Amino acid sequence: MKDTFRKSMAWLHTWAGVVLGSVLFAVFWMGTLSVFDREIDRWMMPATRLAPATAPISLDAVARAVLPEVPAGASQWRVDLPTQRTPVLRFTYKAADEEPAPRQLDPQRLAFLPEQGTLGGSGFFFPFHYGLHLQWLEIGKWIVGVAAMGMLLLLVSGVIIHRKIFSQFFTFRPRKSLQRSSLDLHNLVGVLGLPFHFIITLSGMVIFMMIYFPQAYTGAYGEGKAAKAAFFADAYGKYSRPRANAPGPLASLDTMADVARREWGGAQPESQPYFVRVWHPGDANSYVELRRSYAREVTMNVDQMFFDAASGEVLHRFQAAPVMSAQRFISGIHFIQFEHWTLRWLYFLAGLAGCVLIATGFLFWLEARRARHAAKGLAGVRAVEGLTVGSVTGIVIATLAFLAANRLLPDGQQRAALEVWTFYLAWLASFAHAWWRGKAAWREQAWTACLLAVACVLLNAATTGDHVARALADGKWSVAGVDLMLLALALLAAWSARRLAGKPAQAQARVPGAEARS
Amino acid sequence: MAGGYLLTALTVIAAGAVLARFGMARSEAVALSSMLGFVFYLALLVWAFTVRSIARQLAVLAAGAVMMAAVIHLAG
Repeated sequence: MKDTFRKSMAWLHTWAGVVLGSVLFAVFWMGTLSVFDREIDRWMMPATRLAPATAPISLDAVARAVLPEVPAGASQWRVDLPTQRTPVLRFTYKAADEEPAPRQLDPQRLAFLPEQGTLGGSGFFFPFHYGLHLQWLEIGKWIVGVAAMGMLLLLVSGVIIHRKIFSQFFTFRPRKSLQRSSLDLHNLVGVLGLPFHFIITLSGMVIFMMIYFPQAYTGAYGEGKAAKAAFFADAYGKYSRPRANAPGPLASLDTMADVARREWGGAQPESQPYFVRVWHPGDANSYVELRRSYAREVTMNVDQMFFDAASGEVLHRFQAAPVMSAQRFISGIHFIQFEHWTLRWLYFLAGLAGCVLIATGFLFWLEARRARHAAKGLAGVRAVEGLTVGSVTGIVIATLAFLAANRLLPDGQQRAALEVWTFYLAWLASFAHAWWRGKAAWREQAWTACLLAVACVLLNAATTGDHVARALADGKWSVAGVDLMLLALALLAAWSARRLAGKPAQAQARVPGAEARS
Repeated sequence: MAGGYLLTALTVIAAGAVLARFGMARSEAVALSSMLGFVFYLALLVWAFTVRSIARQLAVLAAGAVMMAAVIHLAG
């Protein structure tokens, strides 16, 4: 019985891995990049490589700066204040039929910066991570959700089929056959990363619990739109009132912010608002929303205060109840929007470990079958190899092409779309190349990634002048960090290219077939 | 797998209704049952992949779904 259990888990691990591995790699890769999405933003938007504001920012001054840009009849405008990682202010508004792209303001002069012509890391990599940019019916989020459940199953079944966790943890034979060393590496990063990978996957789903269980509220609240709205208001907080359709003034936002600060505990950083939103601007029923910062705590609190825009009187205050606070804590574990550089780097490394885990799992699957499939004339290895190369090295190449396009194409609004096209075309090309070239594609794409990464660093230096040494001297840590990670990626790609090409024939002959599986 | 999801979704709705009935704040009941839903679904999937007979799998899922539908009807 015990053995059949282990066998069914081994079968599950093998096939769930092959079927979901491509999506999982994309999600892990984009998630790892999203850990440093704001730093990638600075790299891709040279005009925002600014020093942080020296004096506290007045919300009234912010309002004076942005109000001329808010069209009459807009339903809301919002400004997100600078953070440790984002020196600029971010301005958005919504009107009846338009929701233009965010614009950014210099924190010192409160002046609009020129259009940056890119989605950047936070606008492209981050949404890719959770939704694959497939918005129709939230299909992207559902695909990611299925892959996430698959990931949890893979982790559980991986532990079960893995007999000698302790001794294998200390086993790594990098010079043995590719099959042997990729399984060793798979086991090593799998065990090492297990707690992180389990929690990051589960917390990712908890964030979207209302997407994945869209009917959950109906048991307690009943069916229908009003019931759903009631649930969301109780859980996440919400205040609204209709327009009066008569003109009205806007009182001092700074005074409202002072009231909010007092309510949230004083002058400490954790009591500061992090965004201000004005609903129905210019209307007599206009109201102001302030949200409390979560820069200094794991929990992504939903503390909010609403004020009457004309009088500054408090209309509504909200704090999450205990279970929802737990949900916000679990979400915060996933989002790491709090300020902590050491943890941020650990998240980055653990995310990369996840990428290595998936890639080596694929490699082991392929190497374990290559000789057998060739002997029997099966096409399985060839097909999966194309899929694997395209989804592992292919997405890395596409990412680098995206960054290179950002530095190569001229500034301007159209660039944002062209960058995205570059990404998908490069990805598509890498799939085509992988199916055409078979095993050789690994090596060739790894070299391509190596060259592209170096090219990105050179392009950044050439077009912005912020080469690594200069960026470090100027304290532009984000730019220097992205450049240094690109160089590290180039080295890693070069090493992988050599390793993936090395001594294939005799190594495989020693370990034929799948019985080498532990 | 889809059957497991269906049973999980029904269980989440039912647990939300029952917890709310027992005096938990309604939004809290829904949030708690939704979060636990993922763990429930994972356990269900692991179980499903170890059960040999498809008929038994379907019978358990169907019985569970009927039970949860009854709970929703009674507590909702």
